[in-house]
Formats: sequence, C-alpha cells, structure tokens
Amino acid sequence: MDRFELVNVQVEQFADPPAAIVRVKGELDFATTPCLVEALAQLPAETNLIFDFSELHFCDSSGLGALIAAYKTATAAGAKTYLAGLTPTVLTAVKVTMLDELFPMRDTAQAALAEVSAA
Amino acid sequence: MRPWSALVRAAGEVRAAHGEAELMACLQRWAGVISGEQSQVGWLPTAQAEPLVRRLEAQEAPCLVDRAPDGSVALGGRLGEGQHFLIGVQFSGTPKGMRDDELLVLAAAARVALLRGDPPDAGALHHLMALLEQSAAVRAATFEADSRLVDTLRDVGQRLTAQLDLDLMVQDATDAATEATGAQFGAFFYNLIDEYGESYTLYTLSGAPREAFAQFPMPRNTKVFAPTFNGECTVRSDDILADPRYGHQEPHYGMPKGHLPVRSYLAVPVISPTSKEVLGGFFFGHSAPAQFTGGHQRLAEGLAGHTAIALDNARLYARERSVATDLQRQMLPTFQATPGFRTVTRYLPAATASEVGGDWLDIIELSSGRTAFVVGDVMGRGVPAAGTMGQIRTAIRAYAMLDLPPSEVLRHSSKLAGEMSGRQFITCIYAVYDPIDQTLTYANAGHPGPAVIAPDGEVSFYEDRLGMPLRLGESFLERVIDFPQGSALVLYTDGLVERRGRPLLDGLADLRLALANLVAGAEDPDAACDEVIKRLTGGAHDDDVALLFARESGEAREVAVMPLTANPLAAAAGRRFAVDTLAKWKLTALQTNASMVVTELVSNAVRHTGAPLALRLQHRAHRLIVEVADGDERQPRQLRPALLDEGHRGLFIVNKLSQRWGTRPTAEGKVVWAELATG
Repeated sequence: MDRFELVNVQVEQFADPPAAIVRVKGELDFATTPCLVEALAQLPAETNLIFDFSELHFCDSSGLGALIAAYKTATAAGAKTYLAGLTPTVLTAVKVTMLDELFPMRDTAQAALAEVSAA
Repeated sequence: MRPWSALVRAAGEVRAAHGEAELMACLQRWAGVISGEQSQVGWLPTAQAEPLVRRLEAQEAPCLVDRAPDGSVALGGRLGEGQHFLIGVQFSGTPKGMRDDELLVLAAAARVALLRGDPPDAGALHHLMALLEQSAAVRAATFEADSRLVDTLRDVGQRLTAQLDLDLMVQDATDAATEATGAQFGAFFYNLIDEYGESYTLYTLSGAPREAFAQFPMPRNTKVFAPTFNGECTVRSDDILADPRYGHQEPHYGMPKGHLPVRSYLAVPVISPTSKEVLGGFFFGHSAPAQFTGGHQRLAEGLAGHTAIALDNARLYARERSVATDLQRQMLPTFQATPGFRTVTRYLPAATASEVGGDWLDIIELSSGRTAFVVGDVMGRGVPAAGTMGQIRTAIRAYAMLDLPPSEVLRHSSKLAGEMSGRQFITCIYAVYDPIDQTLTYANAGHPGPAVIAPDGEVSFYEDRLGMPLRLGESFLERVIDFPQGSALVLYTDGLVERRGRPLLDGLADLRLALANLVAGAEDPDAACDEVIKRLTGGAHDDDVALLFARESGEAREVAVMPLTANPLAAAAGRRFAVDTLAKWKLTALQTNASMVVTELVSNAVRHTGAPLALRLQHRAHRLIVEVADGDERQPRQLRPALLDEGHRGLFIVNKLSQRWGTRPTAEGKVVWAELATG
C-alpha cells in the first residue's frame, strides 16, 4: 500500500470567473493530504474552489487543515470555496469540527459551479 | 488528723519564751493554717466580752467558742477564780471559717498558754484533758465519717470515670448515690443532645421499679425542682411537704397522685465541669422525715461531681466516636458493581476496641478497562486516624485518576502523607488489573501482601513487602503477577491475621486454609468471606478488619491488537484494522467514529513521537476502547482550535467522538486511550 493507492486528486479548471472542480477520491489523512496540497498549489489564488468529495471516503484532521488553508488563500483573493457531494463519513468530520459553518456545501459539484458562474 | 496536743504544747512554750504578743501572732498563724485564710486575732473588746464572761462563769466547760452574726468568732476560757480571757478572730475570707471543734482546740491552746507560769492548777489541767479528749473524739468521728465518704467517693468515682458507656454509668451512679444517702429511692434525670442538636431527658431509677414512675411526666421546672434543674444549689429538706416551695404548681399542686411517698428530700444538680451546663440532677426520697444529714448531702454532692465528670467524658467520647464513625462511613465508598469482577468488601470495626480505626478499601475504575484495588491501614484510632485515612484515600484516588503506575501512586502519596499532620504510619497496597495482559501490577507500602486464588483454586501469598510505609517510603518497587481469567485477588488488613495470642504465621496459614477451602470457587463469595472473617477472628477481633475480594468474572471481552510502525501509512492501516475488527464484533455503527479516532491517535503517535508501538481495540461492557501505545513519555495536549486554525484538530476530534480519553504513562512511554460508547 502506498499513498497513491489511497488517494487520487483530479483538477478540472474553468474560466470566467476562474474556477476549479477538485475531485478527491479515496481517503485523506496525514499521509495523503500532501497530494491535495500539491494539486491546489498549481491553481491561481483567485480560483473559486469546488471540492467534489463524492468519492472521498475518509478525511482526517490533516485533510481538514488543508481545506482551511485553501479557503484562506481563496478568500484573500476574493474567491469562494465550496464542498460538494459529501459522503456520510466526511460529513461527520466536517460537522464535528464545525467547519460546516465555514464552507457552503452543495449536493453536487455542478450545482456549486452553476452558482459560481451565475455570480 | 491534726496534732492538737502538739499545738497546745507549742502554745505554752511560745508564751513562756516570748510573751503574750508572740502568742497572739502564733494563734493568728494557726488560725490561718487551720482555716486556710488570712485571719485577724486580737483581745476581745470589753463590750463584746461581758456576755461571754457571764457564760464562762455559768458554764462547767473551761473554754467556749462564740460566733457573732458578722462572722467573727470569739474564743474564751477561764483562767482561775474570776479570771478569764477572750480572743476575737476575724476571718478575712468566707464566713464559714473553721469548724467549732477546731476553734475549741485553738481556745484550749490559748488557755493552756496563758495558764502556764501560774501555780499548777489541777482543776484546769483536768478540764484541759477532758477538752482535748472531747475534741479528739469529735475529730475522730468526723474523720471516720469523712474517710468513709472519701472511700465511697473514690470507689464510685473510679468506677464512673472509667465507664464510657453512658447507660451503665448513669445507672451505676444512681445506685451508688441512693445507697450512700440511705434513700428509699433515687433517680437521676439527665439531658442529652440528639443528632439534630435537640435536648431530651432520660432518667434512671434506683430502689423503685420503673413502673412506679412510668405514668408520670418528666419533672417540670417547679419551685421545688428549679434550684436543681437550674444548677443553683442543693435542696435538702427534712420534710418537703412542709417546705414553702412545695405544692404551688398546677395541675397536681405537689406530687402527682400515686407518686411514691416522699417526706425527706435531697436533690443535687449535676453540672459539667467543662461547659458549666446543667447535665442533670440527682433526686433522693424517703417516706420518713429528717432522713438526710449534712453527711448524706456531702456524699451526694461528691457523687454528683464525679457523675458530672463521667457524664462529660461519656458525652465527649460519644461525640468523638460518632464523629470518627461518621468520618469513616462518609469516606468509605459504597462500591458500585465493578465491571468484569465479582467483588466483596468488608469493613468491621474492632469488636473490643472502643474507637474506629483507619482501615480502608477502594476499587477504582481506570482507563481501558483496567481496575485498581486498594487496601490501606492508618495506624492509630479515632478521629485522627479516620481523618488521615480520608485524606490519604482521596490522594490515592486522585493519583489513580492520573493513571500513574502503582509505584508512582504510592511515591506521590507517601510524599503527600509526609506533609500531612500526624505521624501515623500508613501501610497500603495499590494493585492494577490489566484485562489485556491479564496481569496484576502492584506496589506495596509495608502492607500485608496480596493473596491470589488461581482459577484452579491454588492460593498464593505475595508476602514480599515491596516498600516502607507511606510517610517513610521514598520509592516503591512494582511487581507484576499473572492474573488469568477467573483468578481472584484478596486484600486485607492485619486485623484479619494478627490476633493477640496467635503468631502471625499461624494467622497467615489459617487464612490460606480458609481461602482454599471456603472462597476458592465459592458460589456465594459474600457468605464465604463472612465465614473467613468469622473463622479467623473468632468473632472477637481486637483490631479493625478490612477485606477485599475480587474475582475476575470472565466477562465477555474482545481484544484485538495490531503492531504499529513509524510509517505515514500506519494510520490508514489502523483504520482498516479497526473497520474489519468492528465488523467482526458486529459494531459496524461505530466504524466511522472509531476510524476517525484511530486515525488521529495513530497519526499523533507517528508524527509526534516517531515511535508508535501498538494499536489495541477492546470491546467490553458497552464500551469500545481504542488505545495507542508509543515509546515517548511526553504527554499530548488538546488545544482548542480557532475556526481558521489549520492544525490542532486531531485531539479535538477524539474528544468530540469519545466519551472520555486520556493518557497513562507506561514503562515504555505512554498509552493514549479513548473510550467510545457502543450504544
């Protein structure tokens, strides 16, 4: 088992306004979170971020920390951050840490993207 | 008895040698010696002397004593035909002064001194001899009465003051006083304070059946009783029916109908020498008038004094004993059922000693399904021992909550005990059962070692005392013994095995036998433990006995262990292990939360210690326990993350998802654990 078996991160970018759907599949923990952090580092700061977590089955405190870091970068550049399609396990993690107060959550990434485009 | 003849002789010699002035000085000193007061002595003025001279001329007796209304006393005597002397004595203190017979001797001494030097007067000498004999007889009679009084008082006093049982003591006092006063019957009414601080009155009777008074109310504060109940003075009446104080109060106007007949009446208040409060009163009655003399009164007053002391003692003692018992009772916990164990606890205060001791037992649930068993003994008795016991028991509980290893619990407790007041030694065993290792780890501060009954019934004693008693010990060794399922631990205090007249080794041998025969495999361990105590103490233990029995009940328990390595993927591996294990244990509802807790704990061990050792999952009694052992003794700290903090969320999540969590030091480093409810 290595960390690339645990997680897969795909980024789909959109323009006008700049946005990205970040699909994280697998599990996020302190071993795999660096993969997400590396992927996010490739994006311009002003990108509106839509995390598609419909295939994310686990997220620990490191993963949540990476989301907060991304949120801070985006917010500073005037962009928004969405969480979409949360599985029950990840939803639990978000709620336990009260991050549901921070992130707008949508059922699907497409719904979030439509919201960003309309704004 | 005072040497009267010597006094008289000395008086003569003083006057012959030094004249009259010196004689007067001597008389003054003697008056002071006899009466215990600073008294003035001088020749009586003529005006006062005249009636006394007439009495002297008319009397046969050669000397007289006359008491004036102002308390001064005149001593006089005939010296010859038409010659007399009269001395006035003014007592400076109380008007009681000397008794008449003592004054008479003083007068005789003066007379002899004044006669000395004159031609021998056969008549005067004859009178003097008669007088001295008379004085001696009076003195002897008084002395005999006094010494009987003293003897009675001493005997009863000793009995009373040695008696701490209130009921026995007051009955004894009543009987003794009734007999000593020659009363037909006597009663003692005394006030007690109940547990709510309210006063109530009890009474004892002597010489009359209780039924004779049963239908009467308690004596009220009537004019007859008031001086007694108010503690003012003794009331002695030759005929109480003729007393002006008698018969004024409604509804009975005197004794109620059917009361035993009383003419002679004597009542003495009993007043606490310490608090000055009126503790009660003695009442004596006789159906004939004039039965009680001044001697009886003195005796009754003396006994009342002793009774007051004894009652004070008994009340103080009862208070102290009840305080100590309360302390003990409050500080000894009522034990809840201990998960995984069938326990029996017994604490029996000494049957023969009068105060509670400082024994204690404790059972403390620790983290991760472990249990601590404690037995201890504070030397000494009463409130100090009970107080120290309470403090040290609480201290040990507190250190146990920190989950310190047994040796550390005792080391800290010993240090703390050394700073507490008192100097009693404290012996103690602290033993921790670990269900995963199935071991018992204990440290011992000078206490009789634990006994373990193996599942096959074999009894082992672990007699090595691993350390000094608390207060003295600075470090304590630990011993680990196997404790497979079904084993039983027996902890006890020395009252169980040490008995006067039986060597300790015999006591231990008896205990071993009793444990093997009675307790091992017993269906009813409660009854078995009672039987053990009965057999070892013979029902008459002269020290406190405390006994703790705990048999591992083989409670359903599931354990799964996975070794951990310092690998970033350890958390994921642990997560999978937890999910699989919980599926096996049919605890799928816990998989999400357990995965999160496992991940955070393993992550911390890998990231912050670099030396993760093992992940242990344990399922028992509605709890899932997650433990992660590592090789680093540093303790994790939970920080409360701000919303935008990127870190510090690990233990925050653990805290949220578990019922409780904590860490405990181990030989290798530490264990961080969390307990999750299984529903």
